[in-house]
Amino acid sequence: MSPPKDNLYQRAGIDSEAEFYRTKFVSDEVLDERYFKGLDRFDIRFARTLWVYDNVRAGSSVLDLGCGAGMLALLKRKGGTLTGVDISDECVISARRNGYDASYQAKLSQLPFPDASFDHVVSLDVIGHIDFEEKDAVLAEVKRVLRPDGVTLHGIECTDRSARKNYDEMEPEELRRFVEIDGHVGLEEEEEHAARFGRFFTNVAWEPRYALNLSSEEFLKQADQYGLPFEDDFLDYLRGLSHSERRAFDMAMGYVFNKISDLHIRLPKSGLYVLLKAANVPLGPFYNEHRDRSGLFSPDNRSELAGGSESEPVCLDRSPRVTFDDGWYEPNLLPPIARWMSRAGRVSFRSPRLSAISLDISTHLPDLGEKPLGLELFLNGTRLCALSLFRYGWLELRVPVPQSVSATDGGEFVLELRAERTWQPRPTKDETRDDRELSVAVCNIVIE
Amino acid sequence: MGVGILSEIMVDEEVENILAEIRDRVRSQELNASVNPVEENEKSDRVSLAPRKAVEKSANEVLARIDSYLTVTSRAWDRLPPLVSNRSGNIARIELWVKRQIKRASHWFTWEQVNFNAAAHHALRDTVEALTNYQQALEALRAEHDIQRSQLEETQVSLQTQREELHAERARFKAQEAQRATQVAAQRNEMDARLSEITREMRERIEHLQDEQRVCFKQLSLEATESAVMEDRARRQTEKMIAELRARLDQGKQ
Repeated sequence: MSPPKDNLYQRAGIDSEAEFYRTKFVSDEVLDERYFKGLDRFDIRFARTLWVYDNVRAGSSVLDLGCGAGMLALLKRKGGTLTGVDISDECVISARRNGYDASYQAKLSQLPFPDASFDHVVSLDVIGHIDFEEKDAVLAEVKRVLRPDGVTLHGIECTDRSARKNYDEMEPEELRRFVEIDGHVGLEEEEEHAARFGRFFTNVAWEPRYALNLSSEEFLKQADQYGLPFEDDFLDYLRGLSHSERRAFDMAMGYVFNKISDLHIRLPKSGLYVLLKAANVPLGPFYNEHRDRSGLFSPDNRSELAGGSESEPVCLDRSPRVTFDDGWYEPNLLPPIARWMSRAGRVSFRSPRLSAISLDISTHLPDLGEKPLGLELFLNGTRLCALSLFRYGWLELRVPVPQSVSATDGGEFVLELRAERTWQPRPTKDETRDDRELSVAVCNIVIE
Repeated sequence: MGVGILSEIMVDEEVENILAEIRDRVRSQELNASVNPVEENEKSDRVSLAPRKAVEKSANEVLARIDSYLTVTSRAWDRLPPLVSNRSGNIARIELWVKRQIKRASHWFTWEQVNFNAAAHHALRDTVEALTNYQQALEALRAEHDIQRSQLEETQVSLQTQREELHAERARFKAQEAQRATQVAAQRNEMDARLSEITREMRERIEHLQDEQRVCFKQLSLEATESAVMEDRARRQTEKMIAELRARLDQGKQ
């Protein structure tokens, strides 16, 4: 594919790239590693993040090139420093809010860092958004800011020239529609990406991915917007899935994705995506070079909860030692940051002491005025209290824990909240569809 | 000659008869007219022109009568004596000859009477003419007056219509004013209700916002506490490591 002479963004009618990416990729999604749920390591949505996570050395300094809202915030669980850079200032703010140590607004071909600043320069879904004319300049900058023994890791969108037209072959309207979807102005085939990196790094390894496993949302997007040929009945099936069914599908896809990585099965080219590692030093294994997932979850739950002294209250919301089960949805910035619960949600934790539990509860249930929402709070199966929410806003609830319950052997607790009913925010099948079964939003779960 | 005289005599008689009839008719009409104006006025005020027309009619008839009288004077003013006879034949001729002689003989004193008759006749003729002119002028004035009067009446009718329209307009304005007052009152009530609703909504929103702020501040406070704990933990760990390094250095020195 020969690079076009002029800027493809301009040809596609996009005047401001920063504004385009602000509207595409800035969201109120909470990617802060402190809210990461261990079970989500199987979610295909985090598959690329986990590949990077397993290939980044613990305690290293990482630059996230084109950080967006902060999809690599999870790397903070491996210690070290995480820096982001993006052309959109709002993405920069969003990344910082999600726990990046620092983030900067800059052109990717003019990075505001000294030479040899980072152990890893990482990007996900960025190289395919860089215009052909700028790509080499960006890679030169990557090489410049990467330490001599550093490794750069990239997840890159690809194209299949046998199935898709070149940019030069597209009509102006066709080009505009294609670029408008995701901003892909620099799609190349897998080998072309590898060859380009090969001009800057002595060692390059790459693996085509996503030939088999896509999220339910991505399947539909590839079919509807990029015209990839999937079976119609399969697509209809995916369209009919509820939120929990889509999550189950995505978890299964993510599980298989991880297993393919673990077994190092090389997939055929798909023209969709490539994972690429490059360095000027010999490369280690392509997958799991620095695998240590202990930071993602606490298998035995025996670690100490954050909260030093005996008298100090401990907040469960952001502790990696606390497990929120699948009755809780991913946190949202309401504000504050809170988790929505379905009909029932459990929180498992260990604590040497427990005399009281306090939490803030709210709901957006539409018919709350007509019928209050009944709630019950259980600790290790014992009902601590029952209450009704009858108005909107936040209710601060503080429940003392009876001695008989708090004296459980081993200090292991399961706090369970049950709601008598749920509602779906936007169950209709449109672009903003949200058919989650929501009951209450909960935050600031504090144990004393 | 005898037939001509006879015919003249007969014509005079007819004229006198006609004049007598006219005289009787006029008298009877005058009698009626002397009663009618009062009755007419009493009958209806609306027919205000009836007496005036009766007077006009009366004046015209008087002038006609005068005119008819003047036909007699124009015919007989110089007949002194009249050279007519009721006889015939020679006797009539003799009689007429005698009368002619007498006329000639009496000319010396009848000519003055003839002059007087002529003057009276012409004076009356001129008077009738003047009266006729006056009558015509008066009629013209009356016609003009009638026109002006009818115009005045039309103006009065128009003014009356305008007055009625103004009354109707005023009533309509009053009704509209009352309707607007009702509408304003209703709108004011509606606005009051809306204002109360907005105030209540704002109060609720402020309460929610304060609620939300409280929870956000609590979250920030908890995060700050966590950060402080983590920092303290890291500090203690670092101090411990430094102490260990120091101990190793001391051991090395020893």
